Amino acid sequence: MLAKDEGCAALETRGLGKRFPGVVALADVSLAIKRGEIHALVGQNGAGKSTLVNILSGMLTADEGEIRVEGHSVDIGNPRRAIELGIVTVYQELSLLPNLSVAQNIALGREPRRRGLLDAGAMRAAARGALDRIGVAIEPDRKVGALSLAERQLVEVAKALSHAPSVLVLDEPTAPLAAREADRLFGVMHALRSQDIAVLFVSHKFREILDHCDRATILRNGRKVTTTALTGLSEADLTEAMIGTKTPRHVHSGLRARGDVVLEAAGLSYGKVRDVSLTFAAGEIVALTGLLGAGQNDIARLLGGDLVPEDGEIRVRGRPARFRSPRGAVAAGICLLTDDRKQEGILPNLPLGDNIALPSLDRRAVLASWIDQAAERRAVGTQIARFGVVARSLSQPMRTLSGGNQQKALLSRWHLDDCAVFVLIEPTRGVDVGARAEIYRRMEELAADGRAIVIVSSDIQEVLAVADRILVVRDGRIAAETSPRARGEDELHLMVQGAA
Amino acid sequence: MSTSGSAARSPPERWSPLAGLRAPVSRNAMVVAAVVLFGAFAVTSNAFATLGNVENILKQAAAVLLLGLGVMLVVLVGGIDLSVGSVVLASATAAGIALTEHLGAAIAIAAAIGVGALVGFVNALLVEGLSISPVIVTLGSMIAVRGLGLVALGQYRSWIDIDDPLFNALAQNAVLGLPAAAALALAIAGLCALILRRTILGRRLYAVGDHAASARLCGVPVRLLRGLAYVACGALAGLAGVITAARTGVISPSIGVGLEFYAIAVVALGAGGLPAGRVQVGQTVVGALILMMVFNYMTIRGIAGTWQTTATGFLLLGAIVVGRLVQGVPDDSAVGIGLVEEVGLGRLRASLSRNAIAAATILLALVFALINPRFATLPNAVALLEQNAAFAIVAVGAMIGIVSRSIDISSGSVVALGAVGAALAAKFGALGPLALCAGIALCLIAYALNGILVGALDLDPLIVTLAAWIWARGLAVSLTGAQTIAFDPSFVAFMNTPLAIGVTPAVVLIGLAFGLGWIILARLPIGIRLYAIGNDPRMLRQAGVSTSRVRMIAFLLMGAFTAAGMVVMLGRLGAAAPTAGFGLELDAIVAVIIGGTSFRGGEGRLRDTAVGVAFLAVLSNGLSGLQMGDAEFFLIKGGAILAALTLRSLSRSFPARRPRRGLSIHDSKTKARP
Repeated sequence: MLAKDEGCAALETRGLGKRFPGVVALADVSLAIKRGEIHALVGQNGAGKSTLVNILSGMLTADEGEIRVEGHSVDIGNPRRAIELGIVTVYQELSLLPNLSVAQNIALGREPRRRGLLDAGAMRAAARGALDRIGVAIEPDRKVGALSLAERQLVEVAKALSHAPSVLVLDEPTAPLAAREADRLFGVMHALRSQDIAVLFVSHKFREILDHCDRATILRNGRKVTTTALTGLSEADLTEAMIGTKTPRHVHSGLRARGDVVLEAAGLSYGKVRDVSLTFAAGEIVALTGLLGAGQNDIARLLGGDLVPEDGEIRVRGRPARFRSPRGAVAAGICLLTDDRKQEGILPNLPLGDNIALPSLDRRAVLASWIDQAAERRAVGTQIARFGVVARSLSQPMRTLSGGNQQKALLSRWHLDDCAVFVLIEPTRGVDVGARAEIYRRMEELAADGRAIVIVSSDIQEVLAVADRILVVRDGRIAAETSPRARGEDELHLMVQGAA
Repeated sequence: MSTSGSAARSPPERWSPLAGLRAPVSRNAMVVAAVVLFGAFAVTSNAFATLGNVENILKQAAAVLLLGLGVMLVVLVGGIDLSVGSVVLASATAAGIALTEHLGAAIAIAAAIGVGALVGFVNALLVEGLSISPVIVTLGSMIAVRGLGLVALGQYRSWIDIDDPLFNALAQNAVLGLPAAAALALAIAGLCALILRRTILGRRLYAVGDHAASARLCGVPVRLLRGLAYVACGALAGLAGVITAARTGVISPSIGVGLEFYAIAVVALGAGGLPAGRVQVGQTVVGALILMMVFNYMTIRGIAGTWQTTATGFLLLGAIVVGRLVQGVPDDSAVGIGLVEEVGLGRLRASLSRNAIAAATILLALVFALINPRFATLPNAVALLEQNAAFAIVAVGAMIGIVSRSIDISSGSVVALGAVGAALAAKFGALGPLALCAGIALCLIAYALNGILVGALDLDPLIVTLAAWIWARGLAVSLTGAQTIAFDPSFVAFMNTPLAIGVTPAVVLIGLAFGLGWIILARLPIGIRLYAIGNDPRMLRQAGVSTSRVRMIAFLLMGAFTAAGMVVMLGRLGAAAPTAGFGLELDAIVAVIIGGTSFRGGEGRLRDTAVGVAFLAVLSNGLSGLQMGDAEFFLIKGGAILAALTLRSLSRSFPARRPRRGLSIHDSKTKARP
């Protein structure tokens, strides 16, 4: 830990920048978090919040810029160093090990010993102390795997506090918590503030930010918009600051002709998703939007056959269809592009050409199984040109393409397969502005070509720019249906938050 | 969130000092190596580059190449098959029986291939249908199929002469100037290459291997194709059985022993590792040629055949290290672990299934006691403990390895190496305790090497310890010239003198091993870290602990238990046999898994392993008390292992569970699912 120098910010960044292939994730971000302050970090998906959090916690290294702790310039580099510097992060994906007990998890990496042996009593006592500090009664001997998501979140906070942080970073900590549990967490945050600890609080929920934070830094497209005191501001003010005006802004192309209904779902249930009924017609773009974890992703996965519904029915062109795997959905002409391009989209080491051709191999086969390579090259080449995929050659490994090009290639993959319904989860996540506009144009072309497009997006601006119909998902249900012309950005944002 | 989120989630770029050389060298590294080797051998030996010798090399390569192709297909889709050596025996026996019964060569060949395909089918059912780790499944079928083959062969007095025109032609004739068997193997390699490159099936196999989750969302039937790879592998192994039968002209019980390891070595030699979705037919062909050239050269230079095994082990080690440095093969998960979907057992079901094995053990003991009056006696109980002392001690080490996701299959070979080391030291005049120390040191050195390769170079533990399995066994055999060497009689006397009521030091050592294992896993800080690294290494790194250090410690601990097992074995046998400890590693792993520890790592208790050890110990002691032959013993043991695994897996899926997400290839943890 570094010597404290009064008057300095507990944590300061100067001109922080980070790029990923094809995207500038963070550019010239400077912010200062004071001791005894709860500082909110606000921004849309892809604004750079996670990148910033990951740099502060040592998971990523910045390409440029400087980080200062208590006024001293530091080099974080790895998670251990971050913790040594007093910067402790509670990640959005929890970092607890389910097979270990609560006490073991809290002690991991610095287990108390007595004469070389593990001091189980001290370990338990330390865990109990850490849990007491935030007023949680969880038995330290319980396996983490047996805890509820909310309990795990609280254990995670207790674990972070047991490192005696000077800066505590909370990345969307309230997402899995119910109102009462969240209140308890806010109580902890206030107590920390009075102990002169700096808290960086990342959240999508504006009400929480306005009620509990002192100042907020707003990020947009990887850049800082402003740092502002929160007193006297409203949710609408924050929304405006967060959304701003994007350039180049995509303008809705106007009403499209709605064709026959191609896909229907009635009474779908799975996990949190309860009794959802939907209809999609050829030639329309429908957006499902909601807060993180509202259930819109699961609805899309149900439609794409990735999840098998517990209850309810899916009909394709009026005929009932039971998908036991994506294979059935693909055969019925429904494709699913998930938000996790790396894990569920690309075949990273295979060439671009093979990636595009994979689902539609049958369509060009000679004698049932033989691949006509010339025909394949032609077909893939046409798609690449049509979707504007930039690559050195068809044999370039997929992983070496930029995010935007990968996404365009994945869209072209399904166009080549002649899919009737495109289910796209966050199709522009991690894609730069130029590629984003291009993807919107392709989606509109596909719709004009008579395909039904379902997009799941938490980017309000994107939803308003491309969708013909907007379905707002809250707590696993369709809470409202609206059209882009009926609502402004701020208004839709409030609907998503459940405030209107 | 944005790409930043996913970038942080994916493992960091692996260390690779020779990154710049990658593209040009890596693509053709093994072809270059093969040519260089051929040149070097030709220059240093007049006999090497003659037509006759090249023919010889090709002839020897045929069977290994076919096996390598089969294993390559399985590796391609992210699995592993350890049963191919046993399939060679079973298939050759099937062919031999068909010929002896005058069914004709065609039927004989069909029977051989059919037996292989059937074994592959069963493997596929267990691996893909029941989601059991392929390492474990094919270990079980390796034992069971060998038993099956031996039982069948036993009906013909364990010796079948092959005398059939077609088989003779396969062994002796030439096609286009190539020996017929080699021509057949190469033709099949060509066919495989064609299928993999130019057909829908091949394309999909590569897609499944490269990234199963993505392939699944493209509508590819992932499980079906992976299952198909096992069936094809079995069929190719069956054909290798035919060629082996033709070449040797006689079928005896020793056929195919250890061939599975050569088959895997051939694939790894050619590809510089076992990278799913990236192995190619050409690489396997080159790998087979390199291995056979080396063997052949050694023979020509008059190096004893026993050194061939050693050479294979070190070649394999060299290939994977070079592959790692030059290609930086980024394998995200260890072979045979990544693709297994294992639903965690609930507390109730975990205890149920634990008790099921305990109950089965007691039942088994009761049955043996009824059949054999001498089973339930004190002398037999002590004998049971003594017979299984080395096995039980090594199983504690295996438990540590499996818990920390550092699977080790080299313990049996290292036991032999250590024993040989101790015996040789004694032979050259070292005092008993000092000689023993030399043996123990040898065990620890072997494991330190494993630990460094796995921990510091981040290599897959399965391949590293496979290499050690080969080289350590090879060294043990070559150092002794395949002879058994007697050890200090006073030590043997000490180990066999009962301390009290028939309890010898070996039995005490079992207790010590379990006690120490319990202290390590439950009472030392390292225990928590071993579980944590098996659970999710990234989280351990987030907590600021060096994962490579934990892995090295895991291997050193395993080395210590293996050394203790070696001491016990030396004391029991009174001599160091280079074949000592054969199959010990398999028994140990199987005991751990049957006990209920997940092959994925991160969970399980030592007392469950004790139950698994008891089950296997009672089984083998009871069977040997019935004067059962090797053949039946293998068969029953392998069958029992597979049955126990199936039981476990079924009890896991029995109660209705929520609709599954098809197959989950990744840990649900690693998915950021809002």
